[in-house]
Amino acid sequence: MGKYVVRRLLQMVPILFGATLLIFMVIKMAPGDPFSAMIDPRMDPRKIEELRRLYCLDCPLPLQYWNWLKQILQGDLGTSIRFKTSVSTMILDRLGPTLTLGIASELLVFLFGIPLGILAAVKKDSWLDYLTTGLAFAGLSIPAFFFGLLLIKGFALGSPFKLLPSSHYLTAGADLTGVDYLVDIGRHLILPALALGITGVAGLMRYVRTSMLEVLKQDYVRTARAKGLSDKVVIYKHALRNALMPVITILGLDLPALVGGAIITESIFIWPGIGRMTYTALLERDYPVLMALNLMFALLTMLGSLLADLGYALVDPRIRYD
Amino acid sequence: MMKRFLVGLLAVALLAAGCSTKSSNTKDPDSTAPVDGGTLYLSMFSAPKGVFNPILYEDQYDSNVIGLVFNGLLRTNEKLEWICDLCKSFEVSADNKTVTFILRDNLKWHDGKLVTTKDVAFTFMSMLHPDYTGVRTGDYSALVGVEEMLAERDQLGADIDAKKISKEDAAKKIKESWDKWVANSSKQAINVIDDKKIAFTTDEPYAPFLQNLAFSIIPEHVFGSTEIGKMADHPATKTPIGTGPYKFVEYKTDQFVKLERNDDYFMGKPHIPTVIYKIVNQDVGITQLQAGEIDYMLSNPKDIELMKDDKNIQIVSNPDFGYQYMGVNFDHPILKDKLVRQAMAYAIDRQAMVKALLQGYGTVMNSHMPPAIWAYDASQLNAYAYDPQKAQELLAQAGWKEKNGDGYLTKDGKVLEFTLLYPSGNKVREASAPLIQANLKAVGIKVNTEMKEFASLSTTVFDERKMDAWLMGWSLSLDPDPGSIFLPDNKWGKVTGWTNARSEELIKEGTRKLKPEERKPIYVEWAKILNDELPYVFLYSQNTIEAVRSDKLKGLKPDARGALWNIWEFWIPESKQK
Repeated sequence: MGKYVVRRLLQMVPILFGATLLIFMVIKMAPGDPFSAMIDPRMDPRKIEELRRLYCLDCPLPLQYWNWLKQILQGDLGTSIRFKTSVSTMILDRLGPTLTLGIASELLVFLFGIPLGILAAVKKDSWLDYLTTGLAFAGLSIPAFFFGLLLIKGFALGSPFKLLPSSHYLTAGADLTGVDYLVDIGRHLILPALALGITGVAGLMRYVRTSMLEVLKQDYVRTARAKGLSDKVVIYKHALRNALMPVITILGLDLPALVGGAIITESIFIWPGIGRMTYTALLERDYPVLMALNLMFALLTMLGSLLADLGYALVDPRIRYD
Repeated sequence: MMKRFLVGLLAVALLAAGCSTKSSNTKDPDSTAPVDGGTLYLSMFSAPKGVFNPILYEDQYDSNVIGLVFNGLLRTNEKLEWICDLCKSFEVSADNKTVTFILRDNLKWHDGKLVTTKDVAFTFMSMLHPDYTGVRTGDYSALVGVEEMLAERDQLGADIDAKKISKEDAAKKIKESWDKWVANSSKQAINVIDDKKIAFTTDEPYAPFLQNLAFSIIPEHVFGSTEIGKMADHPATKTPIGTGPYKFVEYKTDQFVKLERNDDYFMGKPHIPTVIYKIVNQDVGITQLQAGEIDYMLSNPKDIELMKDDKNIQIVSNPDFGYQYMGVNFDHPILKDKLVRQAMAYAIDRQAMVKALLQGYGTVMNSHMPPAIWAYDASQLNAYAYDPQKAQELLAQAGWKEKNGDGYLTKDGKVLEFTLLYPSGNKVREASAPLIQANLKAVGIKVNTEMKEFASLSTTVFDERKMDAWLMGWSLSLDPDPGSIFLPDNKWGKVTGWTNARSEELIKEGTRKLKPEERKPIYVEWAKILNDELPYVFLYSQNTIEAVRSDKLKGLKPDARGALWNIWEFWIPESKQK
């Protein structure tokens, strides 16, 4: 097992290298650079040319990539051209809120998605199944921004309720500390987590339902029932564990998304997340920021799939890595 | 709708007029003497980058904050004329080349240190320094000897590009030319006479210079010991120290900026102790304003409908310093024909755009000067009122007479056709593209529209010039000098490919005179040339619309400068302080 993990981690190095090269080329292929959106007659075009040379935007692409690689190998993510601040600070500033929102919505997804999925599968073709399936379709088809706006209007801005804050992740200028601070963040978290989680709940529920139905048809389940085991034991002890295999895949694949943020939800709720930052950096061709973020996403994607593979071994004794 | 809009405008105008004579807010019958206390919640739609350094920032959102924290030597009065801000008085020499400022007495930075002319000189010297990483150097090229130095820098840059010189050697030469300028000309260009008195001298009289000198002043005692190239890393770039009515407290990334009043503010101690600039979502902002979560926001024309019956919200609408246009590439065989461009101006129903897309909150443009600028005079211009008939006549005159099976005009077997690029982002502009397409189709012009992301589009247009026609806007400043956009020797002036000797003459002449009354006739004549030539098909200028909670905020005197210009005089009645 240990050997396997080490091997997988070592494999990541060349893949990561290839990924950054690919990402670099794709980013550079997009027309424009950090200065091309500055269409303001008072911004000095000659000075802009000087800055392009200063940031080596006029250098040959292999040299630009080499410079970036050298910097990364020294553990420096670089400095944003437009934010004029170090990229690592920019990411760290937003990591906490991003993870808070990501984990909260993910918890929501698992807490509701799995039980509802099991329920729908066990009570297949009952009114409960139809209801949850119907709701799942609604949840999958409703656009996140629209659901977000509905939540804000309904629960934050007084029609009909004014229970929760409408935006931000803490009360502006309140300077809270200790428990009050955490409660404040919690109150701000509810609506965005709901808005972000709803699609996930619906999606996971459908996965679990399908997978559960499949497992319930298996021979060993029939055998278990034939042994005279109670429904509860059959479902929760024998079937569930196998039915959750796809959930592990989802969890593994969700890792980069957890850190990557959710641009739409972040925008509607003014959540200081990495998603919005990525979007801004993309529009402004802020190369150092884009490269650092993509490197991070690539790394997390690979770690996520490794974790998923390890997770399989954990749940399914038939799978062994050596 | 139109009538109500006019009444609204009239009310705003009356309010503004009334306010310039009386100091109390006429809209509020039970207003008493101002009281201190409360928190003012302003809003903006995008997060600032956190570059709160006047000489380094690039985004309007950063400038919102900078505007409250810093002051320049000059500011504008209600007629948008330059008056003293940090200065006590200023004087232009008889030869129009030297401006001398005397600073106010006892001016203090937010950290308590005195403001001196050293700070002023430091601010402008920093922007000229070769290591400066901002984009404002060009504004000061008129100072004695500076243009020569900048031209040398530019030439060395071109030599680097042509591989005639290495970057290191060029940097050495640039440093030498800077040292030379500092030694020979800088004392003449920026002359610190004493702690209070400073004079700026230009090579030639240059009118826009007053506007450029109005720039926010940064503290020398804070930044002085830092290398200019490293100024962005200085903590005071993130947590600025200024002279303005509000002191910077903190910026919670992507959330809000907190400011507290400056008790020593030279215009008077502000009544409201705390100002919080919240970042809000544009689609949610209006409801937050109505719910009282924010007290101020910029509004779209289409949202006014939702607020107009709300007695607690006051709308302040002003003409803007920008306008939207359809640019044309003069290398395009069809579009370089003036008759075709004029025909398009007649064929595009721009009045309908202002009415439908801007709900009347805007002006149809027929030349380059937008209505907010004092050199604007529409009376002398051809209005190109919507007239498809006239458009077709002009096209026929240009030889476009035959129509093909699809109803498009042809000449020598070629269809009257071009591609119109437009950027995503500005909703009104996005909506105008299909209108233009339909209007032009009606007179037989085939327009293929293509939406592009902003940076891609600007690269296609300004760097590669691979376009037929495109939609975009110019945002201008107070001084009417159009040189940066219409002199063909600089980047923006090159883009259309249009040249006109008389236009260049007039633009240069316009900057040599300093008095607005002497400059205006020049610009009126110049605007007429553009109005006839149409290097751009001018579309519209959208008003700036501000929405304010007038039940909470008292002491507003909205005028041409907008709603927030006298923020230190704002106050909140005790019942609303919560």
